[in-house]
Amino acid sequence: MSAGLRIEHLSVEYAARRRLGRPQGDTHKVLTDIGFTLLAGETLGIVGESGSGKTTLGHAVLRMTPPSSGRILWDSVDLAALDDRGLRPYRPHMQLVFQDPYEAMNPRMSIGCVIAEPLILACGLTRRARRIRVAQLASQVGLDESLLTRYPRELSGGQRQRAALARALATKPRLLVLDEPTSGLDVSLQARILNLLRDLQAEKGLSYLFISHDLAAVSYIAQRTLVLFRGHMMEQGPTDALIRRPAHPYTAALLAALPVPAERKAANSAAEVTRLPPDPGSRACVYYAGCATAQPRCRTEAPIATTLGDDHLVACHYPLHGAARDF
Amino acid sequence: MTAGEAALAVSGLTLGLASGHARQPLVEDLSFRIGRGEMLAFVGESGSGKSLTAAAIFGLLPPGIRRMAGAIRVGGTELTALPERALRARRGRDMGLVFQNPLTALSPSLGVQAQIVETYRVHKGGTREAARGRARALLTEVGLSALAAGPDRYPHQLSGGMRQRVMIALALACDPGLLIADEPTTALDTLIQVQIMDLLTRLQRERGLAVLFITHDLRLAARYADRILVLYAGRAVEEGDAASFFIAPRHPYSRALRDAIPPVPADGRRLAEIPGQPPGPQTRIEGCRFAPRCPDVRDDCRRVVPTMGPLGVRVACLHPGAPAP
Ligand SMILES: Nc1ncnc2c1ncn2[C@@H]1O[C@H](COP(=O)(O)OP(=O)(O)OP(=O)(O)O)[C@@H](O)[C@H]1O
Ligand SMILES: Nc1ncnc2c1ncn2[C@@H]1O[C@H](COP(=O)(O)OP(=O)(O)OP(=O)(O)O)[C@@H](O)[C@H]1O
Ligand code: SF4
Ligand SMILES: [Mg+2]
Ligand SMILES: [Mg+2]
Repeated sequence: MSAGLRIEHLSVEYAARRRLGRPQGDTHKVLTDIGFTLLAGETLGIVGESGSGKTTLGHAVLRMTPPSSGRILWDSVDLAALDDRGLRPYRPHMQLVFQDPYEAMNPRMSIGCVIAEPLILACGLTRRARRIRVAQLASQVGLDESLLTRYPRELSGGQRQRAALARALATKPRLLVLDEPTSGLDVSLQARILNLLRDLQAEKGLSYLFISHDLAAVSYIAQRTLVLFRGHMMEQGPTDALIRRPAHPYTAALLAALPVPAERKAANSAAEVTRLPPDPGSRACVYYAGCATAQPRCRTEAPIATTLGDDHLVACHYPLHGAARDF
Repeated sequence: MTAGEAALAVSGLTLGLASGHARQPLVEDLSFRIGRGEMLAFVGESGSGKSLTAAAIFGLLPPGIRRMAGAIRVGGTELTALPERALRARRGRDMGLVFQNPLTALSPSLGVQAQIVETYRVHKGGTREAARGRARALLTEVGLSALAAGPDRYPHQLSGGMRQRVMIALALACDPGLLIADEPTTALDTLIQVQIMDLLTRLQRERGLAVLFITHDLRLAARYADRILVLYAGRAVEEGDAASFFIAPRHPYSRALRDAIPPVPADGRRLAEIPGQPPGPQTRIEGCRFAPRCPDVRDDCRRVVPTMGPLGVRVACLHPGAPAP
């Protein structure tokens, strides 16, 4: 299998929102030194709490947000080094399904036009050919053809998610960045979208970057998972290993928070940690303040990612061993 | 409230569109009880009527929706018989409400401590100083002791989890016996979600609070609630003990909901889907409303309307699965 996408030392900085007493031109780092490989036909899950940088990572990979350093290798071409013009031939290969498809759709466009839009931009199909292609895309994602004349607000959450998917598939991409594709949906719709994504992947050999804060959804769809905390990689590895034998205290805490009905009521709620967060600019581990296993060393020295074998990486001085939890 | 009286008792609640031509009520013949110190979870797909039921109990039905039948007793008082004035006085005193997005409920231009003081004084009167002491005690009780001691803060200066704690403190300001929490953790991160649920559980135990917890996360319900009631298209389809529920749901719909949740770790099997969609209020269905989607449907299901039964057997299905061993 070929390495479809390889990310090396990727960092993203935003201009700091202006605040009193802060010098202008200041930046804050939203992603720090992220690396991973996504094989063709595989899914990498990106997990992390709100604000951890998941969306930013997805956007940076697609070069919708400029990285401040690092490489984005797509079939050995470094996309990070290309300008807009240079990127143009690669754009159709990689598409994004937005975190909130409703926000991303033009409310005055019919669903059919929403799906057709990338076709108009990318290739010179005739109007008739376009209409046929849109119908084909709609049927691929299980969207009833009668809905194509409706407007975004007239669709249910699940239907809008399908439309967003059809639009993303229009240019026949090889990579899809799926930003929380099931977060707003209830369980029965989630199951259908997850199954649909799996079927499409099997049929077309697509690669997915699947962003979610729901470990259950990620464990269903992703062969590999990367855990983010405040823009830093905490752990990454085969999903099954990561869930059965989490090595990072943060991964273990996320797993402990997953409601398992067999364990009733607060039997294993995360221990309250009351340490103060380290000063900005300090060398402490980013997870220090919340960590249940931290030692004095963690306050003075940031851990660097080390391998546990089997493509399993962890950034922690004191990784956990063995099963943290029975399922 | 007399001994043995439930904190909340709803019977035969039916809600529908005030005008128009809906063929089907939005909530139909719903009955359930919550005892003191007990948590009941409402679970069901989007649109199943969970929030409308909560609104009816709180006496805040949206315009256009009407209670067509049913009784609602809170702490032994029949609310549906009360005039609007008396009802308004009880709301906020006998019941607290917490929902998904605290920002829509909190005033952006007033400090959170001041908001609790206001709420308390509106309902209970008393001096400002007494109310302030009460606000501090409440903030401490919900785990915000830093806010109780320090200067007051505006809602936008707090994190999502802190805001939800403030919402809970506000809902408890007048010592209600019943708390309705409509998707209180849906917008929060996983770790914060657990903290808020732990807090609700603690309050439920320490204060003997009755909690109606609304969610579409069956897993969360099974972990935290004492009992679960599953709603489908405005009707209760099953009610049971939360601990055994996940292991042996009896209604085919409850089973389908459970099987649609991805297991952790994954077991390699394809997720079960529920075919079709719940019927809208315009769709008239004879017999069982789940019949068009039910894997176990038989002929009689399309003729006979299954009912829950008074107590004991609480499953509205003509051919339910076996009970938990
Ligand atoms: N355009 C921007 N300018 C400045 N800061 C930004 C910008 N976009 C995002 N950020 C900041 O970058 C950080 C990461 O944001 P991001 O949206 O990537 O997180 P996320 O993990 O996707 O969160 P969520 O789960 O809430 O979607 C946050 O602290 C956010 O405030
Ligand atoms: N103001 C309203 N006017 C007309 N119909 C309404 C109104 N509010 C709700 N409904 C309808 O009543 C039914 C039940 O809605 P409700 O909000 O109680 O669902 P829910 O179970 O809380 O769903 P969710 O999980 O999406 O919050 C739905 O069919 C909905 O469309
Ligand atoms: S390095 Fe230390 S503080 Fe960081 S996660 Fe590991 S044990 Fe915790
Ligand atoms: Mg995001
Ligand atoms: Mg609701």
